[in-house]
Amino acid sequence: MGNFAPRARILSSPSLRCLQTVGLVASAQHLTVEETDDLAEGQSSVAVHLVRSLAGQEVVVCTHGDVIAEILVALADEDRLDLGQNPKQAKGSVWALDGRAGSFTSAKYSAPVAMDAL
Amino acid sequence: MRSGHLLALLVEAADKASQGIVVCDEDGTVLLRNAPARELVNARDGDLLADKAIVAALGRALTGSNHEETLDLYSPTRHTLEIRAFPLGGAGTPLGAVALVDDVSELRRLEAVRRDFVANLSHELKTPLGALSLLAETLDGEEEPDVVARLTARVGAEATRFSRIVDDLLDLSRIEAGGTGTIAPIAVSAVLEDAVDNFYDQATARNITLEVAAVDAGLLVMANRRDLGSALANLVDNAIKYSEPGAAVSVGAARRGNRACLWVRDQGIGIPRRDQERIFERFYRVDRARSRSTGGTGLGLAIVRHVAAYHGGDVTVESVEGEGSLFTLCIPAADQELSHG
Repeated sequence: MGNFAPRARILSSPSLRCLQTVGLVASAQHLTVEETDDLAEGQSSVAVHLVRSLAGQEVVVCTHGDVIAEILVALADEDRLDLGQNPKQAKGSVWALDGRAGSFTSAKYSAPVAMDAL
Repeated sequence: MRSGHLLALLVEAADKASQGIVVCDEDGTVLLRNAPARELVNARDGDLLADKAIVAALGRALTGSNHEETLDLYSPTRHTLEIRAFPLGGAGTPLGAVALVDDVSELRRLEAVRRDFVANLSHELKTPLGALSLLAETLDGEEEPDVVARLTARVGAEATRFSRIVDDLLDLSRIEAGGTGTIAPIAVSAVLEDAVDNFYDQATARNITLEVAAVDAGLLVMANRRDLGSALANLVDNAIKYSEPGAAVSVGAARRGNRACLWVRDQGIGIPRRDQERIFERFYRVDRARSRSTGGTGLGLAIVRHVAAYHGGDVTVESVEGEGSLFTLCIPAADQELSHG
């Protein structure tokens, strides 16, 4: 995730593991993590709406596997975003999304990196 | 046969050709324009440009080499011409040249439709497959039962979606080819009652009233029952999916002249005016997010349109956003009805 710094904002699900995941990045960037229920476990349409509203902004978003899947599927379907032949999303992985004006144009997957590499 | 007579026959034969043929002598003087080529000269601004291009192509052919070009014209409507010109009487010192002109507008349009369809199809199949890949990986190592249950349900939904797309594609392909079943007199009331019976549980589960509102007694159509039923099912399914709980969906049929018109009316979210002309296109969706959540394939209304077409009829829509939609499918009524009526 360190490869994607610096960012202006960091948004996270309120769950402890999400907060811990982005905590290190927030400390390094001197940023405050903004907790939002829109990224909580089990959310889908509200999370998609939130992420879509962030298109074009420099934001780190941390949420859960099922929510990430919903977001990526929605963006792939609605924006024709190419996720590659066999899209992945291992725990701790990162998807970097580029876009603007409410839609996304490219997506790049990065496999999980060791915490000490951050 | 005298050469004059042969020439007259050749000129007449050239007039029967579908492509434009223009022949000039070694000085570039046009000796022959067949009927399609004359139409180009006598027509509108865009076609005058075409004639200039043909004359220019002949000029290039007179230099001894073949010439090909594609000309896109936009006046008054877009059309595309392919012009091919060849030297006559030997490439070294041509004694003349011939230009052959094909209007490939319809061919180009069909190629574009095919390209769009393949691109859309790839996308539509890739989306649920991508979802399955993502969900499978999310499931791997997940231990919380609630999350596992939710992800498993999503895997099932995406698999179903993929399967429905394939089923609808096969249906559409069969129907586009003119259907395969028997065309026979069918009581319209039976088709409507089948549709209501088949969707009664789905409507009730969403607290939507579904009923046969009106049907002319004894009204028959000449139809393939399976395909007509499939068309009506798609319309009723959409009406239920795009209605809020508490709304009503009704179906009915009436004779209009020598046609029978079956209709499905809902009080749902309606269709924006700008989308109404396109909703019968394959994979066209007004709201992709909503379509995904309702499990739509984007092919249902295309199936309805093709069923109507191959029965010699049509389908129309009237809709107001926030008030609801009325789909009307009209096909020829059966003769038996006329004799009874």
